[in-house]
Amino acid sequence: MKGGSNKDLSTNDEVEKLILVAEDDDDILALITFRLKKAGYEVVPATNGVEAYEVALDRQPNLGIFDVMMPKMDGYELTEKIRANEATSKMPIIMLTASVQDESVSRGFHVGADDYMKKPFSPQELLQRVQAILDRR
Amino acid sequence: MGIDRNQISFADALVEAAVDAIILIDAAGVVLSFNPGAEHIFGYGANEVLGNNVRMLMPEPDKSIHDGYLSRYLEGGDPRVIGKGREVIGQRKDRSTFPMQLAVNEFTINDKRSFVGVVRDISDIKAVQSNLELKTRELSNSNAQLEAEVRERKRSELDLKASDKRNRAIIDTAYNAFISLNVHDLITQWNPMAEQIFGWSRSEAIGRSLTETIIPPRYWDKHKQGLRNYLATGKANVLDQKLTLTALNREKVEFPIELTITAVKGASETEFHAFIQDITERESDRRRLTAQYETSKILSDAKTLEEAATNFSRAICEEFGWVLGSVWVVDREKNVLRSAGEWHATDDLDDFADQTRGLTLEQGEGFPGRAWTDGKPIWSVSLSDDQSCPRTPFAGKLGLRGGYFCPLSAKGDVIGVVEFFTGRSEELDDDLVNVLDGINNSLSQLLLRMQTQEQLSEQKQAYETLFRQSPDGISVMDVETQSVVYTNPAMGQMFGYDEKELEGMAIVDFVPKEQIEYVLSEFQAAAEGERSMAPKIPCLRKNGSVFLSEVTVTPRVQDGRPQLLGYFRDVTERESDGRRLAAQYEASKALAQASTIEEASVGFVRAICQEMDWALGIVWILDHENNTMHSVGGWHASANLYEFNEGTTGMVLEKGQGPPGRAWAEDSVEWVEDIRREPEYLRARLVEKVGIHGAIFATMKSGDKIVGVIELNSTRHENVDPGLTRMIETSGNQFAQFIERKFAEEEADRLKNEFFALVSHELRTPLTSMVGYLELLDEDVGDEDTVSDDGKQFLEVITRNTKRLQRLVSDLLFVAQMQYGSFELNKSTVDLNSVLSQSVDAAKPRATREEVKLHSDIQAVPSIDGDPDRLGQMVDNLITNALKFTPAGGDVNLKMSNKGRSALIEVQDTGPGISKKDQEHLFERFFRTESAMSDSIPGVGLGLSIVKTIAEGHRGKISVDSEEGKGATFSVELPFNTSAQSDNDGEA
Repeated sequence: MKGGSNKDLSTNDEVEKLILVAEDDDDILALITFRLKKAGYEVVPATNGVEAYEVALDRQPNLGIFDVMMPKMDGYELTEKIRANEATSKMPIIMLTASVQDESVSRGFHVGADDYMKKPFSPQELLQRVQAILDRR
Repeated sequence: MGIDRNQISFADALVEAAVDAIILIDAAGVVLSFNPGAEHIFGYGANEVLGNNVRMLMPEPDKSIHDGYLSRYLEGGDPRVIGKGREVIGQRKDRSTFPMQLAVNEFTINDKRSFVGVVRDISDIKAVQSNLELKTRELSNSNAQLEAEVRERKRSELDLKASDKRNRAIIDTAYNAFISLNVHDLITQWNPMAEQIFGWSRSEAIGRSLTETIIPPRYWDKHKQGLRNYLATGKANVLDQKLTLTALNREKVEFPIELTITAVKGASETEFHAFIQDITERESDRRRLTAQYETSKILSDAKTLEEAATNFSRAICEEFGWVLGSVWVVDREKNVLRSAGEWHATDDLDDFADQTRGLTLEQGEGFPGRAWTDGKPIWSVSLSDDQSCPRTPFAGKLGLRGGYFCPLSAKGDVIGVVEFFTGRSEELDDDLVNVLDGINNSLSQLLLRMQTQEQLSEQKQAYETLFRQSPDGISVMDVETQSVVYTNPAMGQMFGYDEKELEGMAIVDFVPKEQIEYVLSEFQAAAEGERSMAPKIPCLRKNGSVFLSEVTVTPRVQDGRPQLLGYFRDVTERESDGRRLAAQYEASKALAQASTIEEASVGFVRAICQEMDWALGIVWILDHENNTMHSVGGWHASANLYEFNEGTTGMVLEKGQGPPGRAWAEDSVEWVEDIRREPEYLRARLVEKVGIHGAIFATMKSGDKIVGVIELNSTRHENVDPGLTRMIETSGNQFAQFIERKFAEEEADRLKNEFFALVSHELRTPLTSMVGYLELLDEDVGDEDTVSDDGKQFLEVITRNTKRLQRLVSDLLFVAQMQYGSFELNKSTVDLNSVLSQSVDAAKPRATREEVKLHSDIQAVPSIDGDPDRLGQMVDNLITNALKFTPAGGDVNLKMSNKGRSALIEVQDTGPGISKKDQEHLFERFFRTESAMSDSIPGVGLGLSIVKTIAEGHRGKISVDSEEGKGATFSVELPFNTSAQSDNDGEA
């Protein structure tokens, strides 16, 4: 699957959307950031939940992509806190899970995630889901 | 229950068998018992008399006398009615009256005064007595007549002399012997009657010494002395009165005579005239009748059998001049003769008497034993010859020579033996034989009566003892007032009352409120004799606790009032044993079936509460880290307890706090009779509201470790029940082990999940980068031609192997999940057509690369309820597998079709096929076929086991059809509606 249409989408956006990516693995963080930036989104990275929460409050991103397993504060707790805070409660969230357990997915939805992706995932597919969610807004 | 039936029947039998009437009356005179003897004597059937006043057995004039006696006696004033063998008049059913001897004894049954009267018909004795009196009167009259004649003769002495011939005629015709003698003791007159009585002819007698002729030698001196006295003084106290003396006949045999002597002063010298009557006959009669009468009197006067036996022996011995007498009675139970009492004349017989007392003899043992066995009297003058009797040596030593042993019979049965001993080796005194003969029947009956009375008295004592000592509660209840009349001590203990406290209490006071109606209906039914009460009745103790009692009731009448005699036995313990076992079993079962601690808690306390009839149960689990306990689950019997259960759920207590905390701190089983008296009880308001009283708090221990506390609550007041305590301890420990195990399992589960999550994370994180960056690179490669052709090929290899690794990791983690049972399906509506198309698309590059033609023939099928990811994984695996084993140039066909209510997915390859042997293990984890290994086909043997798991997870079936060298076809049937299918499992 070639991502030929990606650039068209990004150029169509009048205002660059801000996406918060929380991921403790640097390579994956860079991968997602590269993909999203290439598609025209502004990305603010975070390497743990605590940092991500601060950024979320600070920057009011349009969407969050959170890894589940992170130091200091995991993706579930981060999602719960964001949902609990009025300032960020409406923020769409996609969770990335490496867990083999299906319950991790349902738990993600339970705490308020809008979508999830299992690792390993296709960056292109992630991008499509981001676009789908933001288009709905 | 509790009564020795044998004893009763024995005593009853005695009463039944008695010839005498034995009548029991109560203080009001109501007849309570009327034996066959009474029926015979009075002519009434027992049923005609029972319950009526005993006055019906008396002639009209005597009734008021009886009433007077009874009331005076009851007032304590006149004890004369008791004991004595009084002679009174009885009235038969036919209104005829008869003399009877009545002995009355008072006895008390359960504090109620009652009387037993033993009545003997003495018509016969009376008849003989009056006959005797008549005869005696006649004799006296005739004597008086004779005396008058003598006086006449005295007055007309001269006439007499003058008319000697006429006098002779008078004398000769006199009924009595007439003897005259002069002052020299020489006989001058001797009439024919004298000849007859004494055996001397007139010619022989005249001129003989009277003394030497008719007086036993031992009286000679006395006689001569008297004669001398008279001659000297002219006075003699023997003259002109009737004397009874012993005389001697010509054969030297002594016999009793009655005589009157008159002195007639003649012209020359004084002459004595004696009128003599042989009273042998009369004396025998007298002695017999006297003995008979005395015997009756003695026996009826005697209070005990021994007294009767002793007095009787004494009377007979004294009467007949024997030295020792004793009475033996037959002890039917032991079939021996038992000495009942004896009398002996002199101290030197003490030894023999000692031997006799307390002796028992077998049938045929000794003379008494033989008399018993033979039923015939024995007269022996050679006592020392009898070697079978233990007393023989003593008899010889003491000079006892003659012995008479006479069996006593009643109704043809020997009931005893009387024996009399004499030191004289004389002929057996016929009088004794006659006397004993004559009184045998009455003596037997009276002895029997004495025995019966003693039995009655023993029986009464036995009853009393039984009543007092019985471990069963015994209660007499009045039917009309439905109240307790009196009870025994056990009844008091059972109900927690003082024995006296119980008297007069209403029956409803002993029954739990909700059972009153039921128990009273049972009581009424029993009182009316419809049936005995229900076998088990719930009873209420003074302290409010309830126990189950086995009840047996017998209706009876006392003082004209219907009563129930009830036996109560607390069967709570016995019942409880069974219920405790059931509770224990149910509790174990609940633990076995529960998968969580909460579930187990509810099931566990429910089992115990339901079986043991407790209202509510709660389980507290300790949190050792925080030193607290919290309730994890409870069960309540009725809806009104919901609030209490709910109020407890989630409650957290510290160690030592409240009764549950205290049970923990003290490691105890604590019984609380009434939790409302517990100070500072946290749930005081709740227990008040829902009506909780009793409670138990028991620690649950796994080994020495306290794991939790079981709390049981009851709407009753509860007393300590050691059985239940033990049961709760045992079951509690079982529960504690369950909790420990669950904790361990949960911990293991948590560790396992953590491990999976970690492994999964650690494997997938690098894979994510690899897959992601390869994708980015692929885009670049497509966009700009910056990579050499070789480089592009290398990237392709990396991509391919990354995907392979990705699949392997996925499979491994999947299998691990399956193994640990945490495999779950995320079900949604799945379009199988699209699942298959995606898989075909995904497999196409590989098919192309491996030069295998991949065909697909997909018919449209209805959607199914399933996990799309898993189903995709299943089809992927099947296609991958087929491609892997199909050599270049081969074909792989994917088909899907409708088969009944299922979708049939088939994947057919042209590979080497699978041997039948390998087919058996094909779907096992990590199994690899021989050809796969020999041909070095990559893989770990997980693919097909995953396919099978997923297919079966969707209620599907997988099968393989293959022959070696002819390829293989894998078929999966997936039912369209998996949930409906499960509902209809039974029909399918």
